[in-house]
Amino acid sequence: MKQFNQSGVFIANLDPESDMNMGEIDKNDTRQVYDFLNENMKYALYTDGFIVSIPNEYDMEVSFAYLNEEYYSTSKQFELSQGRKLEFDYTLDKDEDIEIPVLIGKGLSKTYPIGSIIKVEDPAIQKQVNYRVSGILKPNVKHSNLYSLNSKQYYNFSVVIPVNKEFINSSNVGLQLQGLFDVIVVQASESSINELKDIISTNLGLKFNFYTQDENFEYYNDFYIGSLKLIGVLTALICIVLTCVAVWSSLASIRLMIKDFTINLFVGLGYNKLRMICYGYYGILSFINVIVLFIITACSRYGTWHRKDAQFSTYGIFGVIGMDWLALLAVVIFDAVIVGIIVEIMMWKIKKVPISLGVLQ
Amino acid sequence: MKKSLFRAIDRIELFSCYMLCFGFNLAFDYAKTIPVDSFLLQSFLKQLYDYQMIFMFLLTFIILIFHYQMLSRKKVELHCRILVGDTIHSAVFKYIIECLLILVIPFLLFAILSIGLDIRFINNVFLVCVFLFYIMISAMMVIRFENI
Repeated sequence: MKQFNQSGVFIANLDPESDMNMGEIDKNDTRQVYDFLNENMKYALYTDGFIVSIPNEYDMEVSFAYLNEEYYSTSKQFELSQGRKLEFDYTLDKDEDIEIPVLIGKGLSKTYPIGSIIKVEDPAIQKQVNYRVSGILKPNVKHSNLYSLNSKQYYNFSVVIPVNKEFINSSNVGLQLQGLFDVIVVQASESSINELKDIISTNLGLKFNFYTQDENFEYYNDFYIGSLKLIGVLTALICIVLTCVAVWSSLASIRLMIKDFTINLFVGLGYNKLRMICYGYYGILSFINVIVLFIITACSRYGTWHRKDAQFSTYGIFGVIGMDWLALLAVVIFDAVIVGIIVEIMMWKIKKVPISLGVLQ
Repeated sequence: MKKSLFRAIDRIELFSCYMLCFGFNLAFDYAKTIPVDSFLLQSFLKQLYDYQMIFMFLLTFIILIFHYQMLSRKKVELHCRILVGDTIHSAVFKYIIECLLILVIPFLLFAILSIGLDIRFINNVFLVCVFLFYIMISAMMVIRFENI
């Protein structure tokens, strides 16, 4: 997203209060808008979510993502593990054997190695097209919504298709309209943006807003960061209360077992050894806790493979990815701190009871 | 209360445990009534109150822990009381009455708070039933001490 955070870059956004009737918009209307864009502006176009059934090893529904050269060169998200970059200088001016180079996700790479052809009727141009695999994306390449930065969609089962002006002109209203909803206009001035807004409003009857990525970040911060802070506070509060309950129950168990502790201390058990036993016991409990969390995370990630949810299927051990490992690491650190607090309080409590009194109890 | 098995610290502990359980339960019910605009916050809260029953059931175990550890410590005291003329029935009766008194106070406090905040407190009534069950179990534990 950082690449689009420059002056002169404006990102389209359909006004939530704008009424939309897809049925009333035809190809002539969208063409007028694209003619204006092509003649007067530089724009980055990206749209995805066109689901197509093509045979693959995992029987996943494959999502087609369309992007133009401006988007591809500005956004650095499509990192390749094999093959060559996308090329945009192809032509559709053929009756048959239209060949377009595409990038595919790792999940499709076994079925479609580099150089292979995916023969399919493209949902956007509704023509039989031969998509030639020119590159394979790295595992777990993802895309976040421009306004909802915490959202993630993975490209492991996607086909990334380069679109040029000819492709856009040949495509149906669906792609053209979807493309406009998130179109990014670069090197533009306020006046040209206002002109574009008017063109869209006149031809499509839709009210579009154009925000800079800075404004989108601001919106994100206003709308999401507040909620995230509140979630953090609530989580911390629950954590503190449950830690207090854990400390209380440990102290309760000491009250019950103080006689056994002190007898053992009396006959030679050192405080250090006792401390180690306590750390070992709570360490095992924490370990079980982390394992359970890992199983829950893995079930959630692996569930997307089981449900054939292509946009959320990820590669890793049972689908567990980097951010999950980071979260598990945070849990391990928190557990270590909580275990430290509980054991040290327990040891303080045990040391406070004189051995003679403890034995008598 | 005279001849009670409870010390002041035990009463405070049990009272605090009840307060914690009722407090958490009310907080869950309150969270359901707050109008939340943010989808993120809403989904976080939903995760919590979708599993409210499980959370609350696990949290009520602190009451079980309390009764168990307190009665285990009072075993000898109870024996001594019986030796000097007390009966097991009166000890159990006094124990149940005192447990109920300690239970009723936080329940009433949170019932008043629920009415004040206009939150339904039916879940707290369910909790009271669970706690009554725990009290009965612990009372049976006291009866068993007579034979040990």
